[in-house]
Amino acid sequence: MSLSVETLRRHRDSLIVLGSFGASLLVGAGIIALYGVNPLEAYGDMISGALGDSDALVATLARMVPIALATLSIAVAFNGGMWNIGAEGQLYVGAFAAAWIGLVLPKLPGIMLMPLGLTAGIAAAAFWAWIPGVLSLRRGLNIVVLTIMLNSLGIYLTSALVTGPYAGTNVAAGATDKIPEAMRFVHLSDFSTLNTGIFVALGAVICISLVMLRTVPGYDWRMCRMNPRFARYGGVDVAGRQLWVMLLSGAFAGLAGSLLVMGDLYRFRTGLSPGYTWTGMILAMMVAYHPLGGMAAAFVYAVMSSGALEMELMTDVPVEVVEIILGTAVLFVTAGFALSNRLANRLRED
Amino acid sequence: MASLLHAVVRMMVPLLLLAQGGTWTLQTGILNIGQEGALLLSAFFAVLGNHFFGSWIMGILFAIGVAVLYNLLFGLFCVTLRANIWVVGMTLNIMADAGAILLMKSIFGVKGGFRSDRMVPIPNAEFSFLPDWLVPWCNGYSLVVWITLLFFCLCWYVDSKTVFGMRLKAAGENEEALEAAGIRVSRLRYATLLVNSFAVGLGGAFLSTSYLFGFTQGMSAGRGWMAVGAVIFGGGSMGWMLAAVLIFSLAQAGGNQLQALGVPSYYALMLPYILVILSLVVRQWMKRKA
Repeated sequence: MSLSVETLRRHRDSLIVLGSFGASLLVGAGIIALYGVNPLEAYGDMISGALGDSDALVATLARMVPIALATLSIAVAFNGGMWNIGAEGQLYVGAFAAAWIGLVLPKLPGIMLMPLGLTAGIAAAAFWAWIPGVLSLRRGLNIVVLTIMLNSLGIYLTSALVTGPYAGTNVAAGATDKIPEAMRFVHLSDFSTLNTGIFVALGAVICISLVMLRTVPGYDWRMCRMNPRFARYGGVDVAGRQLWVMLLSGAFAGLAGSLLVMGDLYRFRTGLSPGYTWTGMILAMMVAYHPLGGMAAAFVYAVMSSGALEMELMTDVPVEVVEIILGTAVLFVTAGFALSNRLANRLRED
Repeated sequence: MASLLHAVVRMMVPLLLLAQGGTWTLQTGILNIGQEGALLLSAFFAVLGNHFFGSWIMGILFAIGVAVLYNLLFGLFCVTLRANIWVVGMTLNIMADAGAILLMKSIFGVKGGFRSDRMVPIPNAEFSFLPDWLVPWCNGYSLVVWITLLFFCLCWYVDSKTVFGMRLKAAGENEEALEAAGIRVSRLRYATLLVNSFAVGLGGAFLSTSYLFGFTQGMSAGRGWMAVGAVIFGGGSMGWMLAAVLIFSLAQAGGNQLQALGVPSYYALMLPYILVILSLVVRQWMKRKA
């Protein structure tokens, strides 16, 4: 008996997350059934539509890359107690900076252009995250309001630049010219935008996962969220650590944006992201900011949304049902943690 | 001048309603960051009720109804379960955004936006007894503008002159003392969430059936967040909140004015956001000095 309680406790988080996801799939099944569609078939079609053959798998992977990076951007920030909801703006600023390098330095060789483009994208986005980071950590302003305002500012600013001085010549309004060939990540198939940038993304994912799960700074970040007083007592410079958290979070949003420009579209355009970081936020919160959990969630989302796109074509079920299902999962996870903490407290008191 | 006043008032109404509702929840210790989603959903349901019943009153009731459900859900998590406000608020915001689109596609079969001939706009209040020189200043405002004014005055009175107003502040500052005095803090919090639902519902109905006519995707356009900004600026004080609402709506109206004068639209659109950030920085600096 004591053994099973111990195992339960050890795997509590994963159990809550998986249980909530299962429960939200049931809720989703209920919604899908309202449209007169058999939910089991719908879920089955989602999986076969997203993973059925190699073309579908490649398209799903392509969809997963920006979502995965956005999820990590949010996971890093929220895990460290920084409520950065400005990743969307950071992504836009980073994407534009990467494209800008290609537009102003078209003659450079690829060996310089590619690192330069990535660096510019990452640095610009990190800077966009640094502003609210400093204002909240050193000046005590509310980070949520700051980041949301900087979202709008970043999106409008890049829109102004791309419809003004950097408007493309042979393209519909709101997009730049294509970046030089030397700067592009090569597409891996003809049917999707999956490109060699996925290896850069993979490298970044591995690095941040190792740091978050296996190193002292990673531990400090968690403590900054869960118990800042304890962290301070232990000699951790909480504000300093959290500023790094913001920079890293911005960097990941910037990487997502840069890869969209250098790998998927080969140019910057308005409406570049259909809200990747909002989806990423749902996913990161669903897995309680665990980086590898976040990757799994991003994969699940890519599968579900690829499948849902086809479902919308065949039936009346709108694609937004995926967001509703995953949002429900987050609510269940939140309730699960709240209730289990309560239960734990009660047990301790007894 | 009268037309400028009209422009500012139109910007002010949703902001003031949401900021008032949010100020009270903040006083009880709950910063309601779900406002953006609630506003959007209310705007959609106002159109829904208005379209199906051909009545703006039903529109407002539908909007308030959905805001009540939304705020009760927020309360269930943040008050009863004491879950993290940011996580719950952001999730609800994102779900509201997706939910409005999902409902629009499912009920009306359209994407992007919806309006219909069956809808009836909220009427303007016209006072026929006014002297001529007052007419351009006082007439031509939506009924909601006057309701908002009344609502705000009522809240001001309750906030500063009644026991209930005192208890709201006590709930935020010293929960235990209030509980010891036999007052259920969670009940106070739910009460402010209900008042907030009324405000948000009215704001949403104003947005989609008075200020604009019809629902478009993302039509709340950050107004909910500006209201949260005003709430934080006020820090629970209604006077400072009002000041912030005035600044932000002036900036929004001014931004629109700049566009009309030929400033590229994206730069003009940035103005209110820059002002929000600057005013928060200045206010924080003042708080520190004090």
